[in-house]
Amino acid sequence: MSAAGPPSTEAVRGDDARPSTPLLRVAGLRYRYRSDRTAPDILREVSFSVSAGETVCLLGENGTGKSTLLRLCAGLLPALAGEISLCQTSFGGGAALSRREIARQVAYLPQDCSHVFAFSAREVVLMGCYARSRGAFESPSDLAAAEQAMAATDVLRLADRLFNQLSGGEQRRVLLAQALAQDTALILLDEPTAGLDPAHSLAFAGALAAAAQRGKALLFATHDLNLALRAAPRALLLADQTLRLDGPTAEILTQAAPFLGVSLHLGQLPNGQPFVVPM
Amino acid sequence: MPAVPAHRRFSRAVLWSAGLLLLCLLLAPLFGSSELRFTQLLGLEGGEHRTLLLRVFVYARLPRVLAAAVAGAGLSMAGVAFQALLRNPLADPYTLGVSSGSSLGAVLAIRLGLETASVLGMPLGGMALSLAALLGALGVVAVVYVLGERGTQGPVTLLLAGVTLAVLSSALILAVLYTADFSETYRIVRWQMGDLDVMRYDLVTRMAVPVLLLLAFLWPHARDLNALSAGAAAASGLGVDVPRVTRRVYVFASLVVAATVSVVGPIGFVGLLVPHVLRSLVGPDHRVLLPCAALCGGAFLVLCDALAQVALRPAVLPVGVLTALLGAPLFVLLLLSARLRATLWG
Repeated sequence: MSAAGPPSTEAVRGDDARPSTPLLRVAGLRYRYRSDRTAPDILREVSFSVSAGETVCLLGENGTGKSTLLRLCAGLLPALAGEISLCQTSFGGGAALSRREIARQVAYLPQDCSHVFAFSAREVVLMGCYARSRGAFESPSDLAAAEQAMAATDVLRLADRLFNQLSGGEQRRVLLAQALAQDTALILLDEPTAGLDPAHSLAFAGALAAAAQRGKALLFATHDLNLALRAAPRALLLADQTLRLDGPTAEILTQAAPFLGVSLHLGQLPNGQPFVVPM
Repeated sequence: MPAVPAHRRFSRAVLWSAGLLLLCLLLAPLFGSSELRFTQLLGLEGGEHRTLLLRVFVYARLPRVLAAAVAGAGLSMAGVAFQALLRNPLADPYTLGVSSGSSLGAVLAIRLGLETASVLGMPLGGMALSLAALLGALGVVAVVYVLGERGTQGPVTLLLAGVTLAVLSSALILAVLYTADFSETYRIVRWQMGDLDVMRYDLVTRMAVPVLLLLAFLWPHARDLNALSAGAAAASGLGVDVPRVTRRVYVFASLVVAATVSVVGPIGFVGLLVPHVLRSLVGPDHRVLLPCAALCGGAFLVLCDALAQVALRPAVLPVGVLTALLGAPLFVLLLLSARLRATLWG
């Protein structure tokens, strides 16, 4: 592993990040699970970019490749064609970056994440510091970062409980704290509110907003259209193995009906907050 | 669990584990098929047997105790490693077929009478058995490794390949046993029980070197193993090179198990029980767990061997029988207490 660090992420973070700075750039991406020609494309000709500090949601029916796209962006799958670059460092076909170098720039929360062993919530959050720390044990600054991240997602009081004994919503917030502790400019989340009750879902949306306020760029796949509307100003819509729509979430939702197989009714609450009802 | 930083938990746990092992190492040589007291060794009571007793202590008791400590350490650490790798707390050093492979090697050596054979005029003797066992184990490791590389499922492919090879080796052992005569059959069955009866310092070294290397190799990977607890995808997201770690840990741990089994036979339950008990005592953090498993695993096997020698005195039970006899009820108790805890606290 090279000792040279990744290009500084400091420049692209911060509160007044210019939206023009491309943090994640995906161009002409193509993917199949098997590389032979008979296998169907899972994704083809997908191009978009996410700037620093942006919150973007990824919409689409089941099986349209949302999870696959996130895994490609996290460098967990090799792209068949096209290019993915993080902070201007490309890692498309040939793995130019080591896993650890990628993990310093992008945090990835899989859809299901359960621990086999009985780690405490704090230990789980501290695992986020792995990619950056060099020693065998966490440094005082790692401990402080974990503490801060837990405060940001409101899980400090759960810190010493066992991760496996937390409720689904609490686990999600602990994992988001882990991603914050990882201190990356970009966080990818795969259906972060799947299986959560409305209260936990709302609490998670609050935690996402807290992360966005700290200057993180977020890209999350979801089926919860109201979460998308509330948390993400911009939406990407996948359909027919490719990226169909890309734009402001409210606008995308007015055109999304044919791609989602339902008609959508958009409205506004008395307090001005938009909502959407699938029918 | 209170919020004690990992490095403090590490030093605390390693200190008491080392103390436990030291205590066992000091006391265990006094137990054997006959009694031995420190006062006798120091010549404080009736001195005429002293040199004889000292010889017994230095050439019979001490290497035996050290061998038990080293084998226990290796098997427990390998158990921890396999459980982390396969994300399965019920995995043990033999899950992936290492012991079956070495048993097959040993069984073939006994059946073919390789101990009486000689190479270049040098009689092979006891070496033949452990060499054959080592080769058998290495064969299984190689095949499982290649299959694991071919497969796309990561640890799952390893597990399937390992279990398949274990079954295959067991079937071959049965086939060989069927053709063996009574005395061969007895020796084959006896070998599979594992024993520490004839122990020399050079055999201790042959296990100690790989075991120490394993600790030195595994410990820097402790944080990788922690992250693997959340699954391959999550661990990759945290910055762990999962295929590389899986490959290296599997090969290294298997080699150490092979080296251990080739000397003392397949002693069971140590690699399953010790990590389990320790996890409930020191927590699942592999930075703490691995050195504790090495120290306490050694202590546990030393204790078992001492018990095996005094339980039916003057007869000596094979230590593998005792670890299973002791380990099985302990394990059930542990499972029950876990369920008890669950019902009490939800």
